[in-house]
Amino acid sequence: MNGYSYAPQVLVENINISIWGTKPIDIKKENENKIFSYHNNMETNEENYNFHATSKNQEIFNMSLSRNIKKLEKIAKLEDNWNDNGAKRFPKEHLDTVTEILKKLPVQPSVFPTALESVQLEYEEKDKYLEFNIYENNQLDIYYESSKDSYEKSVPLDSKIMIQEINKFYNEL
Amino acid sequence: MNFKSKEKLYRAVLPPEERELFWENGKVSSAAFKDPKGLSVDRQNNRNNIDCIEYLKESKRGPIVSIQVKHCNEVDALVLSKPTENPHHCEIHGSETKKVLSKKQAKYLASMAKKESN
Repeated sequence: MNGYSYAPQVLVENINISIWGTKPIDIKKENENKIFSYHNNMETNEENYNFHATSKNQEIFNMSLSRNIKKLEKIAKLEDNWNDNGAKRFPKEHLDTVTEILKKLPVQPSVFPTALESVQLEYEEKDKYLEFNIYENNQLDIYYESSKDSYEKSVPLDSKIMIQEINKFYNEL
Repeated sequence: MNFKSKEKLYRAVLPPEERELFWENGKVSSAAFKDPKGLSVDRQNNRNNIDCIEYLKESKRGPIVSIQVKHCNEVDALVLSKPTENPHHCEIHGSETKKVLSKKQAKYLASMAKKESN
């Protein structure tokens, strides 16, 4: 079964499905009844397809966001010295800020803690990589690399800047 | 102390209570390679692979990954011998003046990391 969507790699009931850009993708047969069917709609009723695509994209987005919120809950449980080398625990306010940021992003990232007291958000597709580090003091580090170039910058935390970077990242795929 | 190019460097990814915290699709995140005090690793030091892993497991309970010295050289990260009670202990620094790896360095080392044990 083929379908079109725009969403990050998501984890659905322990089955990995990659959906990206507007390229046709093959959804594993065992996942068909778990996700959605574009096929008939796509051929016969584009309007209906778009509606279904939008609602199902939202469903996938919500699943990814839910997964990330659960990840942050695990990060919240890390205690001082969690890396055996003095790494500090993450204050609730910091993780609440990250949660609110995640809700605004058009595509969900992978989320990780660092011993630098930042939460790291990652996007990776083919040979491109985009990384955000959100610090407790609301500093935002942005790092991008590809086979052609790389850049990094440090700015005050701003979800609009992050959204611009993410849109640029996926538009250039 | 001289390091051979293909000498392995082993790192336990902590905390052990959350073994999947730094993994996505079977790959370790560069987040696991960021430490303001320098990245602690054990050098191979003419030991075989299994002995290195077992030795590290005696003191660290998390999944263990390895990289090679040459990977550090490729991104100008410094490998420094820092023996403690552990004679094999080393640290990887970003430069002579910065202990923390750069984002580029951390990403590269993570991409080269091989999971040795869960």
